Amino acid sequence: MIRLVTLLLFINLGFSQNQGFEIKYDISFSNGLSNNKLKSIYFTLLITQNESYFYSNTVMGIDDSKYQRFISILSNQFYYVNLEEKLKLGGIKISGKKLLVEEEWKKGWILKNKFKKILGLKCQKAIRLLKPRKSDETKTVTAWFSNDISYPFGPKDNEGLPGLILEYGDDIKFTAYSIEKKELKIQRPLGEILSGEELKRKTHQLMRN
Amino acid sequence: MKKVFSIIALSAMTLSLSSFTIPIEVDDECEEYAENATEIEMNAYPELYDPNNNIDYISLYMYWYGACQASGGTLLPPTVLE
Repeated sequence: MIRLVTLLLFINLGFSQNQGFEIKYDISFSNGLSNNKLKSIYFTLLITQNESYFYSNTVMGIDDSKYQRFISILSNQFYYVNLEEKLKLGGIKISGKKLLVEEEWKKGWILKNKFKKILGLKCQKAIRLLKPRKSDETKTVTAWFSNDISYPFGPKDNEGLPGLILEYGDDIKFTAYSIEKKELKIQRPLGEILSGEELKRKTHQLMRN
Repeated sequence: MKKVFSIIALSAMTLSLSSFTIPIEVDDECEEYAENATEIEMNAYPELYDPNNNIDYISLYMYWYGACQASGGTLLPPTVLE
């Protein structure tokens, strides 16, 4: 299926409180894994000047490959960011319930002097160092962001760059294929905000029931 | 030298996962299994699963816990490092 790439250009002036964008991201795999199974998968990021909400539009079954495991896991997650309230939430759906937990802000972005165009927008490269919890080996991940949309949000829980992230990742890559300007009122997800430990306990309760 | 250590570490992880067989009798065993598998996968793929992300951790944990429960006694997840 050929997806229509829609890019509605915008005027960066006179934004109302509810003026925002809906960005749709495709996902691709560096190993050339066939996207036949994955063609219907896309992710949506809703952004206003102050808030963002990221979610998956697909539910995948369990599969053994690390790629499809990642998709399967991500399809159950959502992320909400509110800059004014300095609030960043991750959410997960279990047995029809939404569980919320506060997440850490992304730090340590390094801007590079490399540029390319995505959907006609000039994008700058940035990288971030990743330090696994139990390893000395450091990895990096790449993001391409555009100052033309100066909202500091991106796919999954990525934020903190001077502009919208249109491409994120190396091995598995999120790439924006549609940006639509629209009136948005992003709803903060409802539910109790749990600590990491509470989240684990609650998850167990729900899985056992 | 670092490369050699990396290869040894990866081989060790593969072996430990490949030979990871557990009886599914009580939840505790699957909890322990899921914790181990989650830690290994998060360490192997920090670019996919942010080491500090609670939701990534619990999502992976749920995945492996569910897989353990559904395996009926034996679970071999060698694909964790594919």
